[in-house]
Amino acid sequence: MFRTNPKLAQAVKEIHTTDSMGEKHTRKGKIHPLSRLLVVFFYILMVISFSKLDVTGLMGMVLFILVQCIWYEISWKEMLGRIWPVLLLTGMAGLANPFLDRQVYFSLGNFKITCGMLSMVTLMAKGVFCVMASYILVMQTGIVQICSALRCLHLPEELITVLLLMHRYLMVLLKEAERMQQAYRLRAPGQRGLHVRTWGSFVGLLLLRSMDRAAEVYESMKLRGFSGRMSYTSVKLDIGPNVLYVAVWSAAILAFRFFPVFQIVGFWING
Amino acid sequence: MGDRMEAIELKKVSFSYQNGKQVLHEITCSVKQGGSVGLIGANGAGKSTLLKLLVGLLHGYEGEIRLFGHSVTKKNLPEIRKRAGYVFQDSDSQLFMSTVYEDVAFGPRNYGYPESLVEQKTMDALRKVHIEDLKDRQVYRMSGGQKKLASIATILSMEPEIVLLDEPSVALDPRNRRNLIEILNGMPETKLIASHDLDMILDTCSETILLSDGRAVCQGKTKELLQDEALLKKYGLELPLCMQGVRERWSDGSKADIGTGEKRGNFH
Repeated sequence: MFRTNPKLAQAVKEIHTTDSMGEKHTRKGKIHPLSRLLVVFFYILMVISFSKLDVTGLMGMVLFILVQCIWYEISWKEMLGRIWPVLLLTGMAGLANPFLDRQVYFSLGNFKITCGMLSMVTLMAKGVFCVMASYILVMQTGIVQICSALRCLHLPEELITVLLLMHRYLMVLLKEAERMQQAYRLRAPGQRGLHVRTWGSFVGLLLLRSMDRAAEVYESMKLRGFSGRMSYTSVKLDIGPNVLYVAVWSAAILAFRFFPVFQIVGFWING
Repeated sequence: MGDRMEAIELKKVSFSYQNGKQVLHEITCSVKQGGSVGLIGANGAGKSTLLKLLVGLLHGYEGEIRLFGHSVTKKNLPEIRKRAGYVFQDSDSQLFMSTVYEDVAFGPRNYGYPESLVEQKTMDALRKVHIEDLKDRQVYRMSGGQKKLASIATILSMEPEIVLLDEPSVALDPRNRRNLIEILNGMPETKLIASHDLDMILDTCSETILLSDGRAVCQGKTKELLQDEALLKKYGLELPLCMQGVRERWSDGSKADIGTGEKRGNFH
């Protein structure tokens, strides 16, 4: 059966799903996007503060991810499916470590674990944890509300508007690509992907079409009073719950950072 | 209608694109306040260009365009755009926020209204087009008809005095088209509707302007103008379907039996 460009359609759908999940969580709770941003930022700081050989300590930080996923009903499977390229990238970045640093740290029977191996694992874990935390932030807050939090932090307005417009342009680009690919595939049954001869014209046309569409969207924005500052529903900052949220999560992250959680739990289970 | 002021006035308006192609030639016409005027013409007649000039999306015209007595100049644009709303032909160009509510609220927010007033204006606009139950719906999950209504709501939330619609019935099924016509007829704002759908123009507009090759060929009462088969044919158009008698005759001349679903034997 003919299937219409499932990857592009899926990408468009995923962006919309992420947006709607973020908006749902933002409306549902009393937690301001700024509080969420601060907590995630603090978590990332704590993750990167681990030394390159402290693998067991670093693993305790996964608890934050675990609790957040359960709390906000975020699927582990989907998350891992989306961040595997990061794992690959950080793995490649740390690939040289085992060869450069061969000092033996400990042995498991005859197998020697070197400092280079540990630093590679730490690098990969840090990268993955940071991306997971950012992913969770986007899923629970949405790009629009993250930008509102950045505005609270007095980041330059131009930067925030560029972020939001990039988000919109990505959608425009994907939708145009989806339409064009659909038209191509309908007239090229049996072909897998685009023929190499059409790559140039396809990309060129995609650029022109998406620029035209982006220009129309911009015109529509201008006609409705847009003058360089994106406006959206602002979430009321309820001081009490937000201070509590930041305090509790910061305390938990500090506990994960400075106490070997897994060791303590192990000792407790074993008596 | 005689004593109402002119909402839109064009005096000898000419316009050329940057490539030198002249698309409008000395157009002179007007629309009375509260009036509903159709803008018809074959492809490339200049309908969309004319609408875009009215809201300042295109610049560099010759002649004079006035909306409620104010010239359309770059300086006046914020005021003009507050008073005249433009609905794009393609709803995907009009709707860019993630939910319907956010999109409809976009205009009022940009004009700096407090959030309570933004909410009120947004909900009022959604109610006017009967889609208040879709306010939290993601735009990409909506049908073409729903998107069109949401597009109109994005304009109505700014409470414009003039609504300009570019091909509003394109890609709508008969039921959505009928719904749209009823909504347009219920709108008290001054309306200028550019369309090829002459049946819709007949149902919504009391007056019509016929454009051909960038020239305003004539302006008159819709019912009279759309009955003039010779005139329409001359300028690349045809009589509206309802005036062609398709309900009475098939193309081979035999009399159509409209009947009921029961008589024809529906599938269900």
